[in-house]
Amino acid sequence: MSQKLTRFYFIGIIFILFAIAIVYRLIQIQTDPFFTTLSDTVGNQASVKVKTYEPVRGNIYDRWGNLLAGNTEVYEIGVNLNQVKEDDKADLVSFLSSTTGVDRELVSERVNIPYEPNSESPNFAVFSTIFKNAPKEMIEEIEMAQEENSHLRSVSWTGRLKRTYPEGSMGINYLGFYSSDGFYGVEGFYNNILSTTSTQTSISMNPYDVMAIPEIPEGAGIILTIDREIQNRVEEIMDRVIKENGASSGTAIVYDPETGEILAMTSTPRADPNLSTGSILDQYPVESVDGYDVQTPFNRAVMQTYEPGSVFKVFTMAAALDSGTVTPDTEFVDTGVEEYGGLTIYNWDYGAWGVQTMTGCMQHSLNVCMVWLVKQMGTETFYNYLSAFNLDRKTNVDLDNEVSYPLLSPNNPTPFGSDPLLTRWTDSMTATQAFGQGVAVTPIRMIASIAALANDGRMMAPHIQKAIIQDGRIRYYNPKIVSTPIKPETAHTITDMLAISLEGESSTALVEGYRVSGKTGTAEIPTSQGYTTGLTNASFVGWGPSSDPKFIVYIWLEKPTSSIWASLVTAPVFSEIVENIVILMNIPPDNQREQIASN
Amino acid sequence: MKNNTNQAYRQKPSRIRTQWLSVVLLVVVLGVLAVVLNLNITSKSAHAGVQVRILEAEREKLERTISGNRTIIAQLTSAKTMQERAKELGYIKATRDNIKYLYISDYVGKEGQTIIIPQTRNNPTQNLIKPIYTRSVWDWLFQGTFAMLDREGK
Repeated sequence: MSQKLTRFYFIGIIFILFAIAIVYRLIQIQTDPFFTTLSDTVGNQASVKVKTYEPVRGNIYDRWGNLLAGNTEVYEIGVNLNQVKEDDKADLVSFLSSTTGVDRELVSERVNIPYEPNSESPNFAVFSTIFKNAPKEMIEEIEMAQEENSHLRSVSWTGRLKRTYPEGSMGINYLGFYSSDGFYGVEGFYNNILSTTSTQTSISMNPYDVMAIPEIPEGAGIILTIDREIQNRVEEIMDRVIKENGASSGTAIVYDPETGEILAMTSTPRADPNLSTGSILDQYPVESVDGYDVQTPFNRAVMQTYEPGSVFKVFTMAAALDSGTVTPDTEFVDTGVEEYGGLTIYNWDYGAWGVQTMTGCMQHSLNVCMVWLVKQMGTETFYNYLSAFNLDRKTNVDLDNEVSYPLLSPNNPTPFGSDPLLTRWTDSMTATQAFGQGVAVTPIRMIASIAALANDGRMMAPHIQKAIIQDGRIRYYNPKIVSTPIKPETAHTITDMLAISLEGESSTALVEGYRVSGKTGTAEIPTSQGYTTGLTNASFVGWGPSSDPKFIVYIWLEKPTSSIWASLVTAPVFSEIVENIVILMNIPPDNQREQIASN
Repeated sequence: MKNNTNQAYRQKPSRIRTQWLSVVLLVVVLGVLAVVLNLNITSKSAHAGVQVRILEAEREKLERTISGNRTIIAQLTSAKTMQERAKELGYIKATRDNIKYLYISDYVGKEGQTIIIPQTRNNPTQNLIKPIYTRSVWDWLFQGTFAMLDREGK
């Protein structure tokens, strides 16, 4: 009995010692730093996953809510390398190659990448991408094939959003494009608010720790001042007239002078922003201009300066009227020649027009008269007015890459440096600037400044953003007055003078039923060898209805070959554009508006 | 009564063992019940967690699809497409001669399309499952006890 008991106690002691050893080891494992680190590492690898959340880029709309830039769902197709078996490879290569159109050899190369799950290894590879930007239809095709063929089970895909422009090439000049970043136009200028930054978050895979997906705020949406219908119509007209007139490029802006809103803006070339970045930029090649390599501007309206010619005369005349130097009826005897700063100025036709009123000077676009005006008002007054019209600075329009060219004047004679070989202001330059040569501006600068004449002398800040949709609400842009370069009476006077000018010469710019004011501009093109004679820049600026302007249109055709004269090339384009926009903007003819107003 | 009970245990000591066994069994059964209950709740909450993850992925996908569908609608109603459709249907561009302007009082003019304004998102990363479904029996027991004592002011 005692022997039995001894054996019993012995076995009991062994069990107790064994239990103590287990408990000791458990405590040791729990407290040993090596095991603690190992446990954390292994545990985190299995239970925590790092995920990147890409924010949705905000949409861009026109003023009526039509979508101009949105996002479409596309897929990245590839193979999970750990699921690729030797037997699957032949089927995988032929299926993926035929479905995606990717070269067979390239697919084979991608499928044969060895699986390497260690993220720290230089050969880390768990997923091999075969095709990016696949449409939904392609995914449906793969899904169907996977049901029938088990060799394709390693094919998988992930969805993402791709920037898409429903209107194609329409408006690319002001929209810009997006390809991993916003480039040019609105996409470039508002890049930071259209998309917020992507976020990386550690997501616990423990079902008890299910976290809400971190909600990356969507990029802000932007409502533009652009009217899609006007834009479409202006582009159609411009494309046709550029072709008909053999112009090397064309630019047009339709603008609301009361608010500074850009209603339409186009320039050539226009690429399809839905293409790849390379294909888009191919449409804007680097060209040799006067011995310099120059990239074709993406949007000539804000990115190219040029000498505008006689459209600039509106500033000279506005300055002379506003300073009290002349009135519309002041007479000037045109002898066809005027000396200024050692330079002899002639009229565009080298003719002498005799006695002319100021309205006549504008009607016949007399260079000599403009030089005489500058002489009468004085250089200082002239440049003060040019400065008041902000012609010496950028407009700060909310579009990317706006450029400007310094206004050479007595206050800024050597903007490029003191080297005598560099371009600098001379006395004679004042004479040419009076009629728009020797001065370089962008079309947006021209229209923004001239719009003051159509808006009681108030110059508004040009803008393309009408509102921003952010944080669940819409914030509207408040139009801003930039400056008031001339008095309201002067603005009315010059508007009236320019309407009479068009009517007096039965201009092709006239629009039946609507009184409009406008001015042509034919400018010689400066080169390193002097000004060209056979090629010109033809421009036109016009606004209406003259009694209460609701629009102002600026047109520029570069080097038209059908005729060098703006009166023949751009004036009819203005008329055609206005005929269309008065309908699209619901502006009744003058007599009906007067009737409505009198009721 | 007490004497009778003592005598009964003296006559048949196995009754004491039975009593002990019953107590142990009761404890074991209650323990198993608690474990089963805990397992049941935790498995349900784990299932709910997985479901939440699946639904979140689904929502992410739906958001992409909605955004894509909006763009597809815009493509189908783009200016050029609408112009072509209008042409096919025999419409012509309005000219000045086709238009008669009428004065209508209180007419607000052309109205734009409704733009959907995304709602503000202000929920930071947070656990979606309430702690009541994830805490252990001990947590429940101690937290319940402390909460009760707290209510009683002890």
